[in-house]
Amino acid sequence: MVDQVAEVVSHWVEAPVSSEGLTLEVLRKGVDWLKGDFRNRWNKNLRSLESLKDNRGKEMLKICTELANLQRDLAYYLFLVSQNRDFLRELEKPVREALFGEGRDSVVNVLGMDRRGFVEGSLAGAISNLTFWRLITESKQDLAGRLDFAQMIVGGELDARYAIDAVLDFGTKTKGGKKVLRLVQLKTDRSGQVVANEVHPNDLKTEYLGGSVTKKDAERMIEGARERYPDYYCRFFAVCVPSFDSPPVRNAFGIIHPGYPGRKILIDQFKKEAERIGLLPN
Amino acid sequence: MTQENKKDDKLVVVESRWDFLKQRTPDFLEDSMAKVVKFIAGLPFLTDEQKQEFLEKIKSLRERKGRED
Repeated sequence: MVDQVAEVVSHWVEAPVSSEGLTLEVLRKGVDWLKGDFRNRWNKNLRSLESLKDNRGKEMLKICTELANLQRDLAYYLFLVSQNRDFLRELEKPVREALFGEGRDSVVNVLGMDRRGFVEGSLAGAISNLTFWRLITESKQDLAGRLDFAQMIVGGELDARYAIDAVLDFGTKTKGGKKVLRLVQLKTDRSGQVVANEVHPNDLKTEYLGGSVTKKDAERMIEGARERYPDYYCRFFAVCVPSFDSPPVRNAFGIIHPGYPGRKILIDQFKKEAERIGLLPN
Repeated sequence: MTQENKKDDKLVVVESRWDFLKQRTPDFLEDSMAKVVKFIAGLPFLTDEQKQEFLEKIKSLRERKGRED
């Protein structure tokens, strides 16, 4: 009997800890972060933004920059969880509940149960980065290794001031040897459409994506590129992807649902359009 | 930002960028400790205390495995 107990104890003490188990333990902390620090800061900044409404000054830029940083952090966290099926299996429900649960303590209800739609809209931008990344990597799988998600989502002032949501660096150069960056302004569509337009700096249109990106927005992107990436060859794009609550997605991780009947058509359409306008390198 | 002639906008792949593993989270027990520290330090959802706790735990587990950096 003593021997048996000793064997059990020894087995327990020596039980191997897998790296995946450790990573899951780390990622689990993100759920507490969503319910606590993230929710509190999201709440504070949304309320501050509302109180400023017509003020376009420095204070508004400060709040928008902080919201953009929180969006980037959220997108990065959701990305890490969704990169591994086991993590997703364990954390999908707690993350969904923390963000979109019916209770008063979820992020979407942070301004009150009657303001849920407004907060959902504010979270949509973060998740659209993931859908965009998936559209790129699923339409051209060889690009998956070239695109670093953590670097792709810029956040901060670049997003808040210059309306640049994503910077794509595929590690390509022009024939002249200049590194190429593709700067993207992302929009979401609740019906699940994919639309992509190139923005030509010397031939700006009045509007892009059917009016959701104005000429002024496009000028801001170009101004941001001049300021931040003076040594690069920059190309500019306005891209609309399905929102997290649209039929092709309907999840908090921006994953294009494997069971969505139009999945292949959607990805093929994105690929065709993205290659045609040069959003993706050939 | 640089404007170039349209015909020069031919993309040339830089082969060194091909790294299919870089999107994955590091293997806490097998990858270099420098890589693990960099990853943990960059996690926005952990407090400084939590980062320290995880790093200590990872170091201890690596030592038990005899992993040298």
